[in-house]
Amino acid sequence: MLLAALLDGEDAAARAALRALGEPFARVPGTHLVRVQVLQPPPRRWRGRPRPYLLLAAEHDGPPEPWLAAAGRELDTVLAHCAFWPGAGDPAEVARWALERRVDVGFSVVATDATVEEVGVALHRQAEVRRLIAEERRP
Amino acid sequence: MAPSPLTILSPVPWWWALWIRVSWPLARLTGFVAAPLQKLSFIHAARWGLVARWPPDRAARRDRGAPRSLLFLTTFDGSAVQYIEAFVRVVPGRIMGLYGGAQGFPGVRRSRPVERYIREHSHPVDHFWCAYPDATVTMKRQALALTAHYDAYLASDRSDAAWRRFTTQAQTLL
Repeated sequence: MLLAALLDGEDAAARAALRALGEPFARVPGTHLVRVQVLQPPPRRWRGRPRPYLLLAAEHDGPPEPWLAAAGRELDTVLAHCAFWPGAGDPAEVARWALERRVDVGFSVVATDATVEEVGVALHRQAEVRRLIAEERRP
Repeated sequence: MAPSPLTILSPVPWWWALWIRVSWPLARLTGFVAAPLQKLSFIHAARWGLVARWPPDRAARRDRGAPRSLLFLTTFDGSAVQYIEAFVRVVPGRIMGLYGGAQGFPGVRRSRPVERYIREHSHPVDHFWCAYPDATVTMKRQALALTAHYDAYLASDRSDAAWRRFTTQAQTLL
């Protein structure tokens, strides 16, 4: 998960860009789950109002760099509202930018270690077996 | 029903952040927190992180208006109320170990105050995507287990006995 500061006054524009996204992560291979949101931290007493942030968190297969490069391309219109966003053109710069803003995970629980592809195959196979048994056939 | 995402941001004092830094590596090593949660059949994913600095990027100027916080992201099947009730019932000690020092956390003796706390500290998710929105955690686990049995059947002599054995194993996985 990563937290990136939004440019001053751009939180509404970032939310609008998020609403206009459609389904970009269908085009990012290996993505199980992903959320992107504008996060407004609560203020500390006598310290003024904190700035809004963009939170991007995903469960995905494989190493982060290729996933970040693909996600960066799909989210360019949203990430353009973040401070120091280098643009989606250079995958190495995207990975550097993202990893600098990473929040280290203390604990995690995931339902399965299977890849997106393995889960898809398993669900398909389950439906197939269900049909075979209902039709009293077998392979 | 598609899984639901929940994002909770809990401000914590410095001494609780210190506790987290000390206790998390130990708990990670032993599986003390994660192991019982892994068994709950409605959690697609849950992650906890400590945001000790806003923004995390050390090259950027520190945002002193934002408090040190525990960030909890989870995706689950069912309703948030059921989810919180299950957490409070199944792992109350672990929840206290994570949130006992968080500002305003009411403790885990009753689930209603915890629900209120969650409501007050949750942040709307603007964009959420899931690869298999119609598949619950149970469905995924069953499908993966079934696939292993099915592959074993396909690799067998495919006799009547092998098919009967497979369908017996598959009964609870369909």
